[in-house]
Amino acid sequence: MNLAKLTLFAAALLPFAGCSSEAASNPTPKELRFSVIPDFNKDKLAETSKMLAETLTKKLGVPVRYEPSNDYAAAVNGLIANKLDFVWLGGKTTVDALDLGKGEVRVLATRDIDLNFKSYFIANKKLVDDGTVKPMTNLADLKDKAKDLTFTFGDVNSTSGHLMPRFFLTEAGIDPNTAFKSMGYQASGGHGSTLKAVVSGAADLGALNFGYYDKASAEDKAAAPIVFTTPGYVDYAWVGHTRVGEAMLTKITEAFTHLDPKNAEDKAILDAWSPKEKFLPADGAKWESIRKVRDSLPKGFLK
Amino acid sequence: MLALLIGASLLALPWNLEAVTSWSGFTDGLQRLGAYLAGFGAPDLGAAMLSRCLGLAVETVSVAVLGMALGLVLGYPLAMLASRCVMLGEDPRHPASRMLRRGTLEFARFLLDALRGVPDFLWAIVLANFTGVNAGTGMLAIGVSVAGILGKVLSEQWDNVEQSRYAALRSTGASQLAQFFYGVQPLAARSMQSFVLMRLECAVRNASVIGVVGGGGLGAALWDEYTDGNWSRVATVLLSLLAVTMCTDLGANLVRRQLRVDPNHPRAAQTVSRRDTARRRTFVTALIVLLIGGAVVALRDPLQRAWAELSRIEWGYAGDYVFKLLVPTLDDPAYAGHPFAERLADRFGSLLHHSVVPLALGVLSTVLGALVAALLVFPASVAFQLEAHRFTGERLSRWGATRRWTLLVGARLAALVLRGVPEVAWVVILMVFWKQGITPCVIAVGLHSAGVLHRVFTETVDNVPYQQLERVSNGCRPHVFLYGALPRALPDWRTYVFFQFEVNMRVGIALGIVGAGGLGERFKTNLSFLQFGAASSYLWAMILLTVVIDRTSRRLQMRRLKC
Repeated sequence: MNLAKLTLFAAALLPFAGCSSEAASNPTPKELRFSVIPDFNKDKLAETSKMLAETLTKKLGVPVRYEPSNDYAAAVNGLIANKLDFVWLGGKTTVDALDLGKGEVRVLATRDIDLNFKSYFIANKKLVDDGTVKPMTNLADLKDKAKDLTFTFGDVNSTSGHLMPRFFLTEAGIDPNTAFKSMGYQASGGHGSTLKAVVSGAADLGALNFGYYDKASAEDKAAAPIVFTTPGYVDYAWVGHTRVGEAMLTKITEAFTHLDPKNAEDKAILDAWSPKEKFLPADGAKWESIRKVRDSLPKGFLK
Repeated sequence: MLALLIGASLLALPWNLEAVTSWSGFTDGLQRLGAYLAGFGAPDLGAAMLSRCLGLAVETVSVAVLGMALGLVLGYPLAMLASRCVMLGEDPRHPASRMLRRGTLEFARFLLDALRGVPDFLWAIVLANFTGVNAGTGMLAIGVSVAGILGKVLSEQWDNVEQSRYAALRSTGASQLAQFFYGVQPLAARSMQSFVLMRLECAVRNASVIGVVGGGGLGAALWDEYTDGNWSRVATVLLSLLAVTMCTDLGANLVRRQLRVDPNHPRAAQTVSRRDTARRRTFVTALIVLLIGGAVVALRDPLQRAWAELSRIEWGYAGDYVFKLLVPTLDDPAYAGHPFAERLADRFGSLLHHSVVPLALGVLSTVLGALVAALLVFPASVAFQLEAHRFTGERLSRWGATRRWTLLVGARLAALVLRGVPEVAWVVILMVFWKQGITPCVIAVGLHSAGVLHRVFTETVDNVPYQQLERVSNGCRPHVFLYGALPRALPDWRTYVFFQFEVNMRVGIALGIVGAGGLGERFKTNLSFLQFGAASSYLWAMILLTVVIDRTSRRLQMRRLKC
């Protein structure tokens, strides 16, 4: 190939080169899209998320739109597939997103409570009343009774409703796949479904997010008392994709960390997400412990 | 053989029976059911809830209509490619061309198996990644799975047309396609119409629950309210759902009556004039256009949303997703550190183990359904309840006639409700009593198929010409039923039951998502856990299962009837 041809060829490629460098420099996006994992009632999530969208639109100066996600995986897939720009994920899904994102996914912010998150094991009141299940400080106490009890996790992708409870059960020498009379997941509805299942007696025991339980109605709490509280671990976070530009990710992070309880609009969001006090800036390294737990699950655990 | 199958299925499933094995379990179950049914006594009939349900009902029907239209558009050409009489025919061909055609035919059949082997529930879960959570996804999911079912049945109906009936056309030198369009197709038209009509009803039922997995319509509301424990609202949604499916059912019956042409039928259509036919044609065409047009208008927003979702996806990601879904691998993190042979053995063991659930569920629920349906046939038969005098010569008092009317209406209404409540909705109801597990699922599918089978069972009995019943009549109706109607109806019943088994097995896969376990649950769980390689192997297992059953039924030459 002679030089003239080569030059021509390069010239022909130039417009494309310009195009790709423009994309890399990330001009302010026209619109931001976010979602949240459906960890409880979808209607309520949509309500609070739309409120958040309005507030963020004002704070960021870019239209922000909420997109519902059908399940946990859809929120992760959406972030990677350029259907979402930032998402509210659980610990396990945060790690999934970091893995799938090939270095283009960042953990932005987390609540103070997420750095020391817990799960509750709850039991149907009848079983507590007749002494079948007693409140315990060691999960191993369940070992002998498990074979007569039905157990439900929350969503299979939930950190507080599945991953960590499974981890602590396994640590206590109980294999949830075989130890219980039956073991199941909640196909939808997240922690709300777990609570309802135990309240109604559809399941004898269940494990769920302590934050959700603490906010539940007194009636439900009385019908499904806590029998065990797990040790703390890292959980939920806001996770973003670098396609919107690092500068925008910083702006999003600050929008969350600067939420002010004295401002009515900000307070409504803080109430809905209910950190103890506030959102904190975060980085992915903290979720390494969750990755370890996720990858330590034994062969066939999903059975 | 059947007894063996039933026995094996009974042993294979992990039954959850605490609701009936102990007295306290039973009373607990009843208590839960009572609290739940109390909600039904007081459905939420507030204006807001009613208008929400009405909107969702319209969305449900629209999803079904458009899904059905899509299924026809996709399924028809595939059916042509999968049909012997279109692709191979009787004419001698060059061996190479024959081989190529044979290859295309087998490939098309496989494609159809794959489309229908994956239940619409699972299609919706996969498609939602591309088109989002909306009615557009439901429409696509139903369309794809209907294409698989229609493609198979249409191709079989065409191949069942005896070659001699269009031999005249062939002798004029008509091309293969001309033989198909002017010979085969018109001869099969009647049974095609009736099957499409039946599928439309099924599509409405499926559309009413596809929302459970993100496909829009009443299903989403049903599932959300259920998981939230709002029994009074669950009741409202269930009642709207029942209203939709029952209206469809009764509407389809009206159309079906118009299609009846058999002059030997006890209640054959009287009018066969050309003008009537033309009028009827215009009416049906207008109805179809109106339905599709209305559905497009009703789904304008969700379709736009689905399109917007689709248009902004990164195609590299989409390609990657589909590729990962199609290639089974053994690289789940949990397999790390285990040797290849062990991984392979583990995966195969699991595939076999989990195939048992849909198979056993299919067998048992179909047997249960067939039994219940058979018991309900006699009281629901027009021939035996209303027109028995035409072959027994009996005389009835007015009171006796009223009693029989009541019995008939009652039995038919019961069947209408049984099939009007979709399987998933039955599961939702029964789970309250039985708790989560396989038991409510088997009973749910059994009850629903009882309703479905009841209609075709009754129809075959009512189609028996009265002259034949008169021949065995000794004046006793049960006697005539047992020795006159049953022997003639049984071969047809058997075909329907086998077909229902295939359907129920697929439902068994789909129900995995709401607690039945088995292949469907494995697929969904692994997919949502982002273990694509494992999800893919379960997907292939589903397809393989359908292929095996399909080839078996083709080998057994199950006659597929006009319904």
